[in-house]
Amino acid sequence: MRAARAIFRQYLLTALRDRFDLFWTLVFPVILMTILNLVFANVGNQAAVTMTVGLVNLDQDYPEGVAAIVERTLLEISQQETWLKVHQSHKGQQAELEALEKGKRHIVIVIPAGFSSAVRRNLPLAAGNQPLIPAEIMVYSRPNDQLSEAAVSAFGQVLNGINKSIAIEAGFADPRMLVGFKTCEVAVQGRVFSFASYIIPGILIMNFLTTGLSVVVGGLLAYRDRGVLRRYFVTPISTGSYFLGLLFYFLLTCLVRSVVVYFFGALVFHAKLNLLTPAALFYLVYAVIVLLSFGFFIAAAAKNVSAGAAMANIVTYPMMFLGGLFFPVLQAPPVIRWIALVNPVTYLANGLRDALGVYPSETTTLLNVLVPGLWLVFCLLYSLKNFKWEVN
Amino acid sequence: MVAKVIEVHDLRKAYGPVKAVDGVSFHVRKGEVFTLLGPNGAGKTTTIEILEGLKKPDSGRIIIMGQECETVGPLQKDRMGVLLQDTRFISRLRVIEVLEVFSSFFSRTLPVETILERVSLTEKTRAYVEELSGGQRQRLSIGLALLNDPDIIFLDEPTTGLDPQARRNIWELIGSLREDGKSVFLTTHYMEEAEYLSDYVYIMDRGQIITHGTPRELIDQLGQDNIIEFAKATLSDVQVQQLKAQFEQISEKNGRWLVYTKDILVALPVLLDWAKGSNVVLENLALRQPNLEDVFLSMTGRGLRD
Repeated sequence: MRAARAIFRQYLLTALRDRFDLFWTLVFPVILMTILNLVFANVGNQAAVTMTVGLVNLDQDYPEGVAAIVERTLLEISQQETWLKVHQSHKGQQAELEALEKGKRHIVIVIPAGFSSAVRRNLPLAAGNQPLIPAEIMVYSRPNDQLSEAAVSAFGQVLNGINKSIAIEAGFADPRMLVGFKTCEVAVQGRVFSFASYIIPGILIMNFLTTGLSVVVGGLLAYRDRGVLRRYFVTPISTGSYFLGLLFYFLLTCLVRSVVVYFFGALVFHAKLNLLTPAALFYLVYAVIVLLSFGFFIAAAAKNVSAGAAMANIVTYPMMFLGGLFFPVLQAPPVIRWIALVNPVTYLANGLRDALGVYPSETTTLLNVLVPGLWLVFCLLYSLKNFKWEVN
Repeated sequence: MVAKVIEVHDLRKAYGPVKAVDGVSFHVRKGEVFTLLGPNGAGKTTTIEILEGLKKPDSGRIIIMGQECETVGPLQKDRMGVLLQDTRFISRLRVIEVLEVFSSFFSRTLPVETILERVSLTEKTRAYVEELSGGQRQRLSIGLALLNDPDIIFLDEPTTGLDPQARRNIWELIGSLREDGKSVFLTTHYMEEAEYLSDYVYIMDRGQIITHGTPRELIDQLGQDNIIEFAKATLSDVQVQQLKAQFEQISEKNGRWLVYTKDILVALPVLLDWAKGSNVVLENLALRQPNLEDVFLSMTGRGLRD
């Protein structure tokens, strides 16, 4: 333990004297959180999405006809809601379709000439025994464009509303008989969380992961390549004591980082996290230990710094992006889901988010502890057995 | 009888087809400066690194302080001091911090202040390692080797790359270790270093011990008291034959000819007459006593630094 304390002190002193190291340790997570918050915090809010609709009304026969009602309805929604922007065309259908092709419109709605007359013809008193000819509005959309598809869907809802009004006015339906629905947003398990609250656990785990794989691997392997570690090996210190000292050091830095991110998130982005609970502290420490063990594994498996860096990249990105840090992965296609299921980050992120009071874990507590634990044991055993103090 | 602190029997280590250490046997007595002398690539460093625990031998017996061990482990390392051929430090640590870190690895250590004084680095206590000169870094490395007040100190080419003054300082330090009764295991390819410091010398070449003894014994093995040395890049075969006919032993190394003789008063006039008769100019003519370099040369036909 004395030796491990000395190694801990050695790494701490060198880190405190390295501004670059301090930046990555303390400042970078805060910058990353700010960037992610600025970019993604409004996703899902109405203000963040705007559907641009081109409207061409070629039916000018009846100023108070259905075409005018559709046009007026769309313009009113456009004035009241920020997610819809309706462009009334003055240059005609062709100009709007060109704008659609150039991506300046999500959809173009064309009300054909004679549309209102057609609607009137279909009303019971006017129609008599004549066959009904449906009155149709043409909607042009963009393929493979989610917002375009959403705009088509939204316009369908608007038309449904208009159709319902026509049916009621024409005496086809009693409003009391029509089936409707109400919406109600329920906070998850009674907790409401901000985007900052959601991403903080992800930022922390990503930071532990990159630290564990890149910094530890780079540091350990760089010391080994430079011949620094040989001097340690001619003393009685064991690999385990050296790793333990390194682990203490990274545990401290990771916890400091967590506290900095926690307070920054709370003060600047009003994130609410239950950091000081036994479960949250357990998952923080557990995540640090598990992810550092991956660093030790690569340090033991790689022959030199270059090989270690390449291996770290190969391991980091799947673990980071297929571990549910930034988007859900357990409902992903089978291959990705299977990677996510064996990825310890998935369980650490689930456990940490749950423990911090952000979101209930999709996986059980047993799995959240067991799967990372199995990886931890494997990585530690492998690295303690195979780690070399000098380049062969 | 003086106790043996290290005994090695039939030690072998190969790297693929290359036999770096090929059946080496020797012993180190308590309180002596033991030197493994040989040219680069002789197998000295592999041998010392096996004894330091850095490498595993392929076969052979190792007995350290009376305990036989397959490989050198923490128990043996706790009583050893090691100076590697090339010690690298973490540059952002201070001198005292380096000593404090390493002192925590041993069960018994001397105060770091004592070590700093011993290696004359007291004034550099708070200096960063990267600020030290080459000689100061080497003294710090020796300080690390002395931290645990070891019974055996391994010094692998301790003065390689140092300037003459720094080399002399290290020699004095090693001399003081002998005075303290420490057993010192030294490897070097400097014959003057081995001659000046050693109580006992094993000469190693191509993985094998080719001879051993005290420096005096080894030099006496040559059976010559003096050497006449002169420079001449090339001599004809006839001229060489003439020299061999007149002197018991001659050799050539890097364009310098060595004539070994017991009686310089007889040999020198003969050599001068030959030079005059053969129309050879004896450049940089020098008279000297034989040394360990000559021992190695006489046994292998090569110099220690070839």
